[in-house]
Amino acid sequence: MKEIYVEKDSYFDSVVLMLINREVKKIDGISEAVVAMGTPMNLDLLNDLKMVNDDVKSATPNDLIIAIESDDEAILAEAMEIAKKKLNEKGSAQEGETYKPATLEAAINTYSDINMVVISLPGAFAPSQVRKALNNGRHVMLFSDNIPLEQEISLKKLAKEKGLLMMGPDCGTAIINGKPLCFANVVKKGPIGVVGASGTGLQEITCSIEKFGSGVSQGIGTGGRDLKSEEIGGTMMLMGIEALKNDPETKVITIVSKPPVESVAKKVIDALENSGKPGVVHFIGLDGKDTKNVHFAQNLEEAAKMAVALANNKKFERTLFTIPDSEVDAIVAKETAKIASHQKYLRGLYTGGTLADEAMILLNDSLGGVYSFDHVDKNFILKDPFKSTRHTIVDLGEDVFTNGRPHPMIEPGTRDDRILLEAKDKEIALMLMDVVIGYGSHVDPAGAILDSLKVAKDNAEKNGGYLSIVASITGTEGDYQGFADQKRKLESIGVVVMPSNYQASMLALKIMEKVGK
Amino acid sequence: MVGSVHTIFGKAINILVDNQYYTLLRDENLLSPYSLLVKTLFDSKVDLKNQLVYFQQDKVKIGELVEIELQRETVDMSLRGASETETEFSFDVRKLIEFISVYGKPEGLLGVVDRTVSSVWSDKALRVLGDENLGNCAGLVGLGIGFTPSGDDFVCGVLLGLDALGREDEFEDLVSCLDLQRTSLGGRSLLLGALQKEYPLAFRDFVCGVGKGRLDNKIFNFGSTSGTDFVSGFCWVLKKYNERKRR
Amino acid sequence: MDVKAINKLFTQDLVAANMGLESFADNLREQDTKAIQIAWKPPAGGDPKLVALLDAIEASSVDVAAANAKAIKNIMESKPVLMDIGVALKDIPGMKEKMFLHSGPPVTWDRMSGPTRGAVIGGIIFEGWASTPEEAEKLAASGAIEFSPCHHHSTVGPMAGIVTPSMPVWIIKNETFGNVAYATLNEGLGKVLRYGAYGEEVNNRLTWMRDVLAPVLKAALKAHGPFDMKNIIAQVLQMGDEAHNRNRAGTSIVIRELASSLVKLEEFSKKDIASVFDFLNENDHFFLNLSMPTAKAIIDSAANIEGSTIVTVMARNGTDFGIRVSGLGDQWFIDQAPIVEGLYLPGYTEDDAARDIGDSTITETAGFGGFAMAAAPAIVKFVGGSPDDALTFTKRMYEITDGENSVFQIPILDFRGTPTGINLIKIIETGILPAINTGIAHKTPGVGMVGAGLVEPPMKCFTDALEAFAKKYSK
Repeated sequence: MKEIYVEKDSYFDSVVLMLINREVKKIDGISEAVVAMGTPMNLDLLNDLKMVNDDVKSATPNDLIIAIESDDEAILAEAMEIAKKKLNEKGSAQEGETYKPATLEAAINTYSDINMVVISLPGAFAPSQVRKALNNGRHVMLFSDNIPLEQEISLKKLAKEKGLLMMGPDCGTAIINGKPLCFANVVKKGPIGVVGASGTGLQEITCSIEKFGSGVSQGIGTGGRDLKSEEIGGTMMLMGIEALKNDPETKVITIVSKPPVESVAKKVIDALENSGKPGVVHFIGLDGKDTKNVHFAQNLEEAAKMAVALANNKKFERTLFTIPDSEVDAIVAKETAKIASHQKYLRGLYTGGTLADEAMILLNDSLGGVYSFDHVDKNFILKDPFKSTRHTIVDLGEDVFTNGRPHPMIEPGTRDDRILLEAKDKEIALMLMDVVIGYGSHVDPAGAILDSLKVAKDNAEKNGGYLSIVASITGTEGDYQGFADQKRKLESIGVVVMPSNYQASMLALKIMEKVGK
Repeated sequence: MVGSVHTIFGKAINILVDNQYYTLLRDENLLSPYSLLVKTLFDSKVDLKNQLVYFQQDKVKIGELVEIELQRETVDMSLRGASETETEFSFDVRKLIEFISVYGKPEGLLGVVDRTVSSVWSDKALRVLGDENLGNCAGLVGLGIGFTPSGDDFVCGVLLGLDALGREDEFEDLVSCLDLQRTSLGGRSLLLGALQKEYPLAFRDFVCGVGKGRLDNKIFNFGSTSGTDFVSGFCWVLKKYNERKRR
Repeated sequence: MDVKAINKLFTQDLVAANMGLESFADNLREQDTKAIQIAWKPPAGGDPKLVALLDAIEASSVDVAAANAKAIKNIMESKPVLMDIGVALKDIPGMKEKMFLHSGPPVTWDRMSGPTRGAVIGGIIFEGWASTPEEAEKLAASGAIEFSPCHHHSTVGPMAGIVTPSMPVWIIKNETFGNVAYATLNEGLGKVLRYGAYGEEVNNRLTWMRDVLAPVLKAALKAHGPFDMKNIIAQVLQMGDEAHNRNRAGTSIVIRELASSLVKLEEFSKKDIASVFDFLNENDHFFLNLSMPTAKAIIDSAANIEGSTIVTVMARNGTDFGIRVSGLGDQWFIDQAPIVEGLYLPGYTEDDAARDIGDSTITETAGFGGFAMAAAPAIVKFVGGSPDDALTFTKRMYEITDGENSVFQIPILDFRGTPTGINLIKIIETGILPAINTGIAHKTPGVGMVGAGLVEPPMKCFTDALEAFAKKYSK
């Protein structure tokens, strides 16, 4: 095999050419190498060696030719690369630097149609850029976290004055004009507007809306503190509701947040009530009283289901499972058949914070307490977050786990380690988990944990029992990882995949109720 | 006279004027025909490629800022110009071949005279030289690598050998066979000098030294393989005519 | 609650600027959405203290943008005109009989760089206050001569920038605002006072300049009438000069403009007039001492505007680099002057170089010189780069300037105005420092020029200024 390269009009010091010749010939597996100028005699020589191509035929004494021969393609490529690199080390013409915008102003001056500035800079540097974007009349999505509360207050005050979106800080998800931003899914356009103070909450709701046959007009993120701080007072949530109220494409407004401060909750619900459009509210773990326009949902999936029913002017019916009860019973029977008496506990290993919270709230009371990282009851806070006790649910996206590593949604390695750790525990009966796909997420989150899940299942079997694994996938068919593909992968090793995190949690509960009895 | 900077080497700046090379040098030992001695040479790491060069009275001006003073003494680069031309030369070819086998660099055309080494270039050169007819060596012009290709240095050695042996007719015959279009601009400058019987000072002084029984291995530091290739050519022509004489 | 802007967004195509994780921009592009990645770098190497200062200024009540807009407007409206040649003592405000002006921020004799000391010695001999260098040095050290920065007297001086009382000076008036700027006449290259050279050759030339060159040019200028300097700078930028390190076109224009008036002068001998022509012809840099006071006359109109962060002075004296900022008045912000990276003339190396020196950075401050490098690609090789680099230099300067000059244009950038009005805040934010191209003086007094190259001011000057600005305005 031969590789030939001709560089037009370039002269090199013969010392350089000699060095290259030597370096290349030294490589094991190189049978011949010629580095020379294209004089007729040299071309003649290359012809003798049958190292000729069209470039060589037209070479002049001012052109440099590199011709290398080897039986191994990889070695040949490597040798050529070494030769070219050596050439560039010295003497070759300098390439000038090209200009790139270094600042937001420069970008705005060049591309005046910029209407959204997505910021994921380190927290210390983000506020000044947000301010700049807002002062230039641009909407902002602030992905960065570690922004002090006072900064958030003043930035949102500025955004309010300007009437601009300031989604965040720590806002991971938004869907604007059908385009998913940061960690978000490809969801069909439709009549439901969502404002969410929780990233994975927003993802789960928007994906469920598509699952129930409807679509999303806008998905606005507010950042987790928007409703939890009296001073912020739900500024972005209120602005989002107002914008969706004015938006002709939005028929139903759905909002989601972790439990808000009471005064803020009242303001938000009032705004929703006064929007004149049907509203759905889900304050994770906090119920409320329905009013004329405002309906309270008890879980993320239900929020989506209610919104779709309202959008279609249909009556909403509360159900536990969306699959037939007989099927559920069959799954429970199958999953519990082989669980041994020494297997007693549930372990939830989550990557989505809100999804972990939802499972916690659904299971805590029925299981007689679930340990977690930030339980409201001090007795159930994990002493060592890296070690599960009895029933435990952890959000592996917490800082304590990600310290110095990427979030498990980006890099599932963190969860992999934890799965293998749990697999060693004989007392574990059931593993509950989420798989979040979409933009921002890992290319194959299901595939990445298959091996360790298999190890966990095999271990249980070796110990004379059975490990039940129940999961749900947050995502849509439109997501680049492919929903069906992810589901098939999980099912291939016997994971039960439920349509939502809520249903997965409820199935887990049904299974756990039979364990040890 | 206006030219442009073509290449910058460690110890020289090559300037192209009307398709002809001139080399700015500070080191007299590197002096060749078509090279110009300057009083100072700036840090050649600065990339001045393609910058305009203006020749004025006694200085060269490169582009916008650099002015270099030229040394104007003319140097005779012919054999006649050497200090030891009055006495006759005598060459010991066998000793010279031993010498070049020990000190020469094998990457170029050394293999033509020392058959224990070989390179793609010397293999090719042997094929071109074939029956060792003098005219055949014109076919080496442009062969090999370097600012002056190995073949050009070799031919320069042959020409200088013929000159030193006083073989005027053979010299003219070979000159008439040379095609300077077949080589690089650097090689062309070298041969253009040689066919007017002007040679790089290092080459000429080496030959004069050999004629006096002195073998100075400094010659092999000239260029990368240029010195070796030159001595190879010189050996080749000495061997050819010494053998013929013996017959 | 007004959320019209949000509803407007809902009707537009999303166009995102992305700062941070580039994959977010890639994902948007995958969905056929325009996403511009910004090559953002942490301000001043990511110093949280500076970020806090920037935030404090941004959050303060001072309207920096409006103040800067006023500064830029003044710069654009300036009309510098060459009026006359005067004498330093008589014409420069605050000049005293026993005073020398020097380049850069204030410096005392004991801290003066080699070239400045050399020029002081040469200046003393020129004034006839001493006859030998040793005597001159003694006098300089004695404190009998007051040293004052050119910039304290509306004056600018290249390299050492020494202005002595009897030197002739150009007088350039900003007709719009009435302020005036001064500079001495350029001596040429080689052994010259501004590079710290002294001795007979230097003294003879200075004397000739005072006794022949200045009177001849003054008379010719009078006959010709005032020069519109803005017009000339605009022309030279289209002729391959950037009016700092390349002044061939500028010098040629001056000769061309004055030629007729010069030959018509009757009060001078033909020999003297011819010697003036020869001097101008041999000295490519003659125009530098006109472009500098032009820049000074322009940029002084932007000085002392409350709340403005426009940089109005960048100057060095071979010891220190100093800047001034419009909204901070006459306060200097100083750090050690850097060593210039560049090309050294035959026989010299970086070891021979003095630290960065001269007021010629006034050209960059006013929006040409290094900032207009794209207009003068011929010089880039000598400051160590390619023509592409020249373009990048100029383009990058738009990131730290607030205005684009209405008159000074760069043909190769489609006649875009030169980046004008350096904004302190933008320097801190981007970490991009002003690009300056400059000559290099020998560190030993009396040797002269050893090369040319590129230099960046020390960041500390700007961070100190920012701190002072935040302190003054964010109360």
